[in-house]
Amino acid sequence: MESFSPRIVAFCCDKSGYVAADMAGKLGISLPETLEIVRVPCAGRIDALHMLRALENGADGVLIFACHEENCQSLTGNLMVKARIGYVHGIMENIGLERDRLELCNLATNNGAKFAETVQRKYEDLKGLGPSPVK
Amino acid sequence: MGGDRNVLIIGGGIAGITAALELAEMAIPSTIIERENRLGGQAGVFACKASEKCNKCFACVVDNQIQEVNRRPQVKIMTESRLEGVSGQPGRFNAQVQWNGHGIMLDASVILVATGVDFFDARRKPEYGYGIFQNVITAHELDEMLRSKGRVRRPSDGHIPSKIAFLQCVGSRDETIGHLWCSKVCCAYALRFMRAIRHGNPEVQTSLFYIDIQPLGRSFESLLQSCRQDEGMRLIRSLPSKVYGHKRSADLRMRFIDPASGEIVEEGFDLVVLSIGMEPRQHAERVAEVLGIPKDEDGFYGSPPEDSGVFLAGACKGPRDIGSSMIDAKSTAQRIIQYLGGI
Amino acid sequence: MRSSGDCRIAVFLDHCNGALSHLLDEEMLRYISGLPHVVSCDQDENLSSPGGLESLADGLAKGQADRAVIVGGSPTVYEGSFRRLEGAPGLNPYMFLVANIREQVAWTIRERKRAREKARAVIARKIREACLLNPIGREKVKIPAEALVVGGGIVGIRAALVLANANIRVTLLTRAKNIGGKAIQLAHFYDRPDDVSPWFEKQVERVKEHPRIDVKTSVELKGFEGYLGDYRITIRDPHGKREVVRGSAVLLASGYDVVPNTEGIFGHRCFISPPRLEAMLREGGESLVDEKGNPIKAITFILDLVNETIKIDSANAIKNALLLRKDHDCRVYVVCRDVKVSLDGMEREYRRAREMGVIFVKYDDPPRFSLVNGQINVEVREVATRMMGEEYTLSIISDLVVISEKFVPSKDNAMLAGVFGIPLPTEGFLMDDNPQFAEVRANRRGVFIAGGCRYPQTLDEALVEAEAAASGVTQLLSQGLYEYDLAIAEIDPAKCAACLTCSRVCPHSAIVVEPHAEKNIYSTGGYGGDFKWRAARVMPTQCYGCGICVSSCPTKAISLKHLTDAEILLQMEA
Repeated sequence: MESFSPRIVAFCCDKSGYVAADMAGKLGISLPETLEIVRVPCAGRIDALHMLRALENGADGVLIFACHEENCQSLTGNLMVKARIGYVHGIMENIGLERDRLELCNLATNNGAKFAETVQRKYEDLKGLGPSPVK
Repeated sequence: MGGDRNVLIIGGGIAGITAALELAEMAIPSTIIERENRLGGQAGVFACKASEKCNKCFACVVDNQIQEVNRRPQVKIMTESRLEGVSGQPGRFNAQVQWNGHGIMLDASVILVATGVDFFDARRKPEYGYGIFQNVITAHELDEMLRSKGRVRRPSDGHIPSKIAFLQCVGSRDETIGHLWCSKVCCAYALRFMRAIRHGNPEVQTSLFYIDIQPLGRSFESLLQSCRQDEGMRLIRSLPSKVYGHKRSADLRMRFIDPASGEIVEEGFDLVVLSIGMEPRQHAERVAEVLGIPKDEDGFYGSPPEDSGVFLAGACKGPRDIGSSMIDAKSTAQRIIQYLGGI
Repeated sequence: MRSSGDCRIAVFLDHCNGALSHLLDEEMLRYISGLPHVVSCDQDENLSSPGGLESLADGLAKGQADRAVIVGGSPTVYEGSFRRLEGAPGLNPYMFLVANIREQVAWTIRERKRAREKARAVIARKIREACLLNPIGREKVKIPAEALVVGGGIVGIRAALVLANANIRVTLLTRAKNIGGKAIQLAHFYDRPDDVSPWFEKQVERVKEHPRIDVKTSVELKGFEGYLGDYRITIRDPHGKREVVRGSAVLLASGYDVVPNTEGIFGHRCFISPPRLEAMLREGGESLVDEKGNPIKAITFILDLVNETIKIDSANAIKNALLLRKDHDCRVYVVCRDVKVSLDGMEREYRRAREMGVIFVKYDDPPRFSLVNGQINVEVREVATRMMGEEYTLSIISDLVVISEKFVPSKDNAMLAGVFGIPLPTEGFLMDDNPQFAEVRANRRGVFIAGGCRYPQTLDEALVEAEAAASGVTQLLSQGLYEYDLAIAEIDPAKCAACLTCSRVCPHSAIVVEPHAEKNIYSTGGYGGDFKWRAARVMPTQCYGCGICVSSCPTKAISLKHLTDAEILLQMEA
């Protein structure tokens, strides 16, 4: 378990997560190299299928970075993805996957510190949870 | 309409950037000269103040606009540059600009002044202990802390404070320093700070010490209501006159009138945030002189004469929030376009 | 959607002025050059500099590659560069990908060896992703210089004038019999010494006489459809006749409503509304008298019982308090929760009012009202008195009490939101208060919104907003053409079951469902040649490319041209 480096897939929308990820870099904050960033134009583009595929493909954890509520450039993209995450959580429970492996984080383009903190926290949490049973 | 139309924009803050973008949409090229080595001005280093949802602080909008303006081929951006002088006439200006140590000449049909404001230097109110006590900081420093670290921490020991006091009207509405204006944004930003901080750390108690609560924007009502209902927040209509230190710790004490009982009470806090206001920008004096921009009784800029080819946008006209600066810049861009259409 | 066989990738390494040189060494160069489909690998010190762009253009002009991958900093850094390359021989801007190994690798992974491994993995994946790219074209549509303004208040009036002066033909629609709105009630400005009426009448005259402005009064909105360049509002006149008015863009300025406060004691003749006071001050003459001709000696303004966070009443109260002291020598009291001075020059006005003897009384508990000998007794517990350790109630005997009318969203807002496809949040005002929309932009391309229908504002604030919204309209219409990339959603009508999900979830009202499809996989046959199936269709000018419809469609009939499912899945591969 000591050498387990959780693989995290982070969906980042152009209008919040992706730029915040860049800002984390500018602030010089260390992030795990097992972080994979998937760039989407809006979190609303993310389907339940994409989240499940990420887990199926071996991600130990999935983070979805979307705009704060009432700050989405597409108005409802963040609300759409929130509802879908709820749906996928239901499926995960049914198939024996821990809910903590999929999480929504709302942030803005200038929340580099929050991006980093969320990734680091998830990394530590996943180390505790162990590798995904799907693998 | 002859020759090339282009606009020289003095100041790369949110007003200058917004105006440049509006003009770019109309295929009118502009050059932004900005004193600092980055765009964004005062608001460019503000932190996101979201709690469970966006609190409409507009800090991210500034970041987004900066990114957007960097993408526009029609906007030329010159950072670390200053206006030295202007000659010529409306419609055909010739500006002398210092850029990276070189003196250069720029032609412009129109000049837009968007030089913004300074924030009040809290050392001018020594009774609040800024610069004397470690744990007295300004709202500006709180912004920097939240933006780069994500959390508020006491300067003295790096720990998260348990009791924070926000003091309003520092540098505003104050006849002792001759500042007879309201900076408009401080009540809203303090409430947003309190919500953001308590959302990240619900154990932190916050108190707002104010004279009058000033509304700002459409969502202010719901912001104020949620603050009034939050038990970890106190809104106290009494402004302490002095911040005292503590003999054996870096804590702070203040005396104020408890509005409920009318009695003078003394309380300890481990962090005091001074809600500093805005004031006319000192180093923009030169720009005003060179362009003959009139000033009002408070030192903010008044409208230049109609056919002068010189326009103003944003907080240099008087304190305003980011949203209002953007609206003002859009309105001014529209006027510039009408003016250019007529020359 | 893999492109058939043909995939020749030109790779450009950006050293970012040395920041990435430790990763982009000979070994990396060899590694990249050896990856499948890579036909060239060039380097530059700073790709986003003018010199760097030139070398990029030259590299592409060689014509060996049909797509490119930049290895360097964040894609956001290069997106501007692509626009500067427009017109230069080269590739379609959508045939570029960026491997972000600076912000997202070099700056977050300290350990060199790990950073190199990660960089290789990121670059290898981007090369594979590049094979999925398809060129995306650009379209132009004609945009006639015509606009529609909905609402005949001062915001609609100002916007119409700005647009007309920009050579745009404006059709101004109002439900009312005349244009004007609420501004007509004001007697004086708070921030300049002029009277409002002459200024206001001049605005109305200019609108009525302007050759490019067509005003239609007493009309009802019956329908709205279309898109940027061709919006159509169906209106109905009082005789029932319908007409379709066209515009390339729409500006909503439909204002807000007021609810007078005349319940109980507030119905007494001594309670007047702020507009009534304005009218009295305008008509007034030397001395102020009430309806019965009695002289008014004491006036009290009651603020913040309603409209607590709106500055309009407060600004007018201070303005009129000064006038009453100066011209009419009344005793004036202003009873409020907080004194609102967050307007230009208002703090000075407030101090001047106090110097001139206006008494400001602040409360926490709302004041109480009673009738005493034909006058109103306003009882209020002033917070300052409490602070002196005393607890007594002030009793202000007033000849006249100015009591605010509550500012509320227009009762038409639900209809307007429905007709124009604009969100209606719980507060009831139009459009979400979302900072990304910078107040004057609505969710629908070509639709703008300003003034009281968004939120009740003072006259000066509303005028600036009107101009800002008009600026948005002129931008879209100024070139006569609207150019856009086809980086949008596309619906395969054959797969569409016309379930209406996409048109309902689209936040930009960009999808229509109409009979236009040739055939449909659900059809059972037996239909004649001319029959068209109902299917959803994305209006290309209206689409923002967010992809919400793509992920909502139950039959996967919609694809996003610039980000397909295959491209998403490839990004998350190990």
